[in-house]
Order: sequence, then C-alpha cells, then structure tokens
Amino acid sequence: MSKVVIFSPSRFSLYTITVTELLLRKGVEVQAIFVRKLVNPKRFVSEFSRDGTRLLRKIWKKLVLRQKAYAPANFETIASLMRIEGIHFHNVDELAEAHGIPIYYCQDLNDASVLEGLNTLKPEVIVFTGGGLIRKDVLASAGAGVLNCHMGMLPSYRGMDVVEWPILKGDLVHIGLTVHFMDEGVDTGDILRTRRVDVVRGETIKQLRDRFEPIMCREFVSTIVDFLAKKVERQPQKKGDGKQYFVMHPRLVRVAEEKLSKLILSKEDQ
Amino acid sequence: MPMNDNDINALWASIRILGSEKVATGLSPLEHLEPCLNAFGLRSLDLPAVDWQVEPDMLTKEASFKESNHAILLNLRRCLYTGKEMETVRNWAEKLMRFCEVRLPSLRQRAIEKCGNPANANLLVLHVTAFLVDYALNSKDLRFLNTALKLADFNWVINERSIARKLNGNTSDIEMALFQFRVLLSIEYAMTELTGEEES
Repeated sequence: MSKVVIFSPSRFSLYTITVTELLLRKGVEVQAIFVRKLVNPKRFVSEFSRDGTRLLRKIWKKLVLRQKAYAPANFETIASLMRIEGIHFHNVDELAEAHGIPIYYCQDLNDASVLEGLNTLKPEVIVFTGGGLIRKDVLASAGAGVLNCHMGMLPSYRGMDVVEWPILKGDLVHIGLTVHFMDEGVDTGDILRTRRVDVVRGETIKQLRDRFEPIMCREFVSTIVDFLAKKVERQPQKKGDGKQYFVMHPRLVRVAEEKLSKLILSKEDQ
Repeated sequence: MPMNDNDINALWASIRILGSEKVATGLSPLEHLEPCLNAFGLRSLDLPAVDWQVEPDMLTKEASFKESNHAILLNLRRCLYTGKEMETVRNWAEKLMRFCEVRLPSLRQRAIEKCGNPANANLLVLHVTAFLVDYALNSKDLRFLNTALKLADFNWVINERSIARKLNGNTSDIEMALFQFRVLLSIEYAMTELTGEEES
C-alpha cells in the first residue's frame, strides 16, 4: 500500500480534511498528519504586513465561518462536496482519531521535529494542503517529493492571484489548476497534471474561486493516486516558460471583475 | 485612489503657470510625458528638447535595489525611450519588481538605510515607481503596473493632496511635486492603455 504524509495549514482546514478522507477511501495509507499550530504571533505579523486586511478576511472565512462561508449555490463548493461525500469531521483531529492516524503539531512545517518525523516515517510522497513555503531539507526528506495543487495553470501562471491574472489579461484558456511537485522556486517544480476550468456565465471571481475548491480536491486526489500507481509522469518545467505573479492590487482586481462579466457576456452573445 | 480628470486638469494648469524654467529641473520630471498629456487632452509645455543620452556603463552594475540610484533609474527610463539596452532594462525591471513585492512592508526602512535620509529614500522609490510604470507601458506587462500601483499607494511616496501645495513651495518641493504628478498621470495613462479601465 502506498504511504503518504499530509501537511496541513491548520486543524480547521476543510481542504485538508476532504483531501485526506478521499485519499483514505482510495486505499492510500496516511502515515501521519503534520499540522501548523494556529497561534503564531510572528507568522501573523509577517503575513499581515504582506496581505493586510486580506489576511483578516481569510482568517474570518477559514477559521470562523468555515462551511458557513459558502452560501447555497447552484454549483459545487467544498462545503457541498463534504456533504455529498458524507465527510462530517469538524477538524483534522477528529479525522485522525477516527482513522487512527498520528497527528503532530508544529509551529512551522520546516521545524526540526517535522524533519525528524519524516526521516523516521520515510513517506513515498508528501501531500501539501497548505502551510507556507517548504525548505530544501524538508523537500529532500519527502520521498518522491512534496505534491501541491496550484490554483493556476503552470507553467504560465506562477505565484499569487493566478485566478485573477488570466482574467485581467483576457486569457480565459489559462484558468485552471495544476498538480505539481514543490521545489525551491515559486511553483517551478515538475508538473503531473493540469486541468482547465471554464468560467460560467454571470459568476464573480469569488464564485469562481469557490467553484475551484472541490475541483481541486478531486483532481488532487486522483492525480496522487495515479502517481502512486505510476500512471502519470513528471514533466519538468523550464524557468523561462512562465512568469511569477504577485498579489493583485485592488484596482486591478476591480478591472478583472468587470472584464469577467463582460467577457462572459460577449462569449454568450456569439 | 484613481485621479479623476478634474484633479489632473487643475494640477496641470498650476504646472503650466510655473513656466518652463522652473519645470526643467535636473531630475527631468516631465521628460517623455507627451503620450500621457495627449491622452488626457493636456497641452504640452514648451520645454527645451532633451538629448536622451544613455550611459551603458552605468548599467553594468548588478541589477538590484541595493545598487540602484537616481541616475541609474533615469538612465533606465531613457533606454526605454530610445529602445537601447533593452535586455539590461528588462533584467533591472524584473529584479526591482520582485524586490519591491517581496519587501513591500519593509521597503521604506530599507530605502532609508540605503539612502541615509527619508527625503532621498522617498525620491528613490518614486524613481523606481516611475521606471516600473514606463516599463509596464513599454512591455505591456501588467505585473509592473501592479507593483507601481502598490508603491504609489504609500503616502510617503506620493501624497496626492500635497502636490498642489508643493507646487507653490521651494525648488526642491516643486521638483518633487512635478515628479509625483508625472507618476500619477502615467499610472492613469497605463491603466487606460493596458487594462481599458473606464472611469467610474
């Protein structure tokens, strides 16, 4: 049986819970879950100075509202996926206890304790469901590597806000996701699979992002399973194949939002 | 906040009153601004023609924020206007954008440490902003405009409300105000040209 370790950004991550549960149902053995502790003032200060009020909105959505953040919609969200799949765990601890998986808390996923744990467990692969940048020594102790599902089409769109950037550029064919290995660069590791996500008439960027999450869960799990069964191969990226994008300025986000509605309308008109 | 047409017209009227001798300063704050002025229907000043001499030797330093200075940044903009040394310019633009994005929260502190005093630090970052906007317009790459927008949001880089007052101040105040106006106007021009943003 294939053995993996899960990296989680917080014990309340719906994404971690869903991906882990779906992997277990596919017969993948989860050796351990490493979870970042919630309270870390240093990290909060660093992320707040970078993201400002965006961070507060993210905390409100991910830690306070959780499933309630997803209004009833005529499309699948991660909350509705969990309901459909009968995943009722409130946090990662409940999931770990139900399946007898060891769970380890750390200040940072690069901590020496994590490295020590990995060297003992020797996983085939690490499944990254969030939690910041991963350093070289952890990457080197991850078996085949650390797998991530990026909310953008690689190699074209690396970095941040990669749902918004193709919209702003009118590049709708490059809206999608990529399952790839993490390396020392920003989204420059080997690609396993990309999947395009079509925009839907009348949706906003937030709705599009909400719609991405269940697609990411399913695609991530199926790609991991295929990789472990050696049904999918690594495709290296060339550095010059893509660009790195940064957090989009609110004024450009407004333009992207306007463009999304106009682009969809014009597509419908044709 | 986007500058509206009324603000732009009012500031340009104040600049025109200054006359060309006060406007043609060593920093050349209004250099190569004609495309922006034309786009907003503003009548150009009769400034003496500038011979855009590019000094390639100046650009042999390693492209980095640490190595940048006012002269290098002006030289980089002049390369853009003349189409010279474009690979070097691209390298500088990428490095500066990346540095500003990653170090945004500590940028002022780093600029002060580099320049020795806040006034020079503010001017240096204003130069970087002017270069990034011009590079965005030249390369049609919105990532550079994105960074310029973030830099222009800093009150210590551009204080829109103080520009009109500074235009009535001493020579260095005028120079700073002209440069700030230039960056704001070129950002508005780039927003229209590159994103098709319509005034709300």
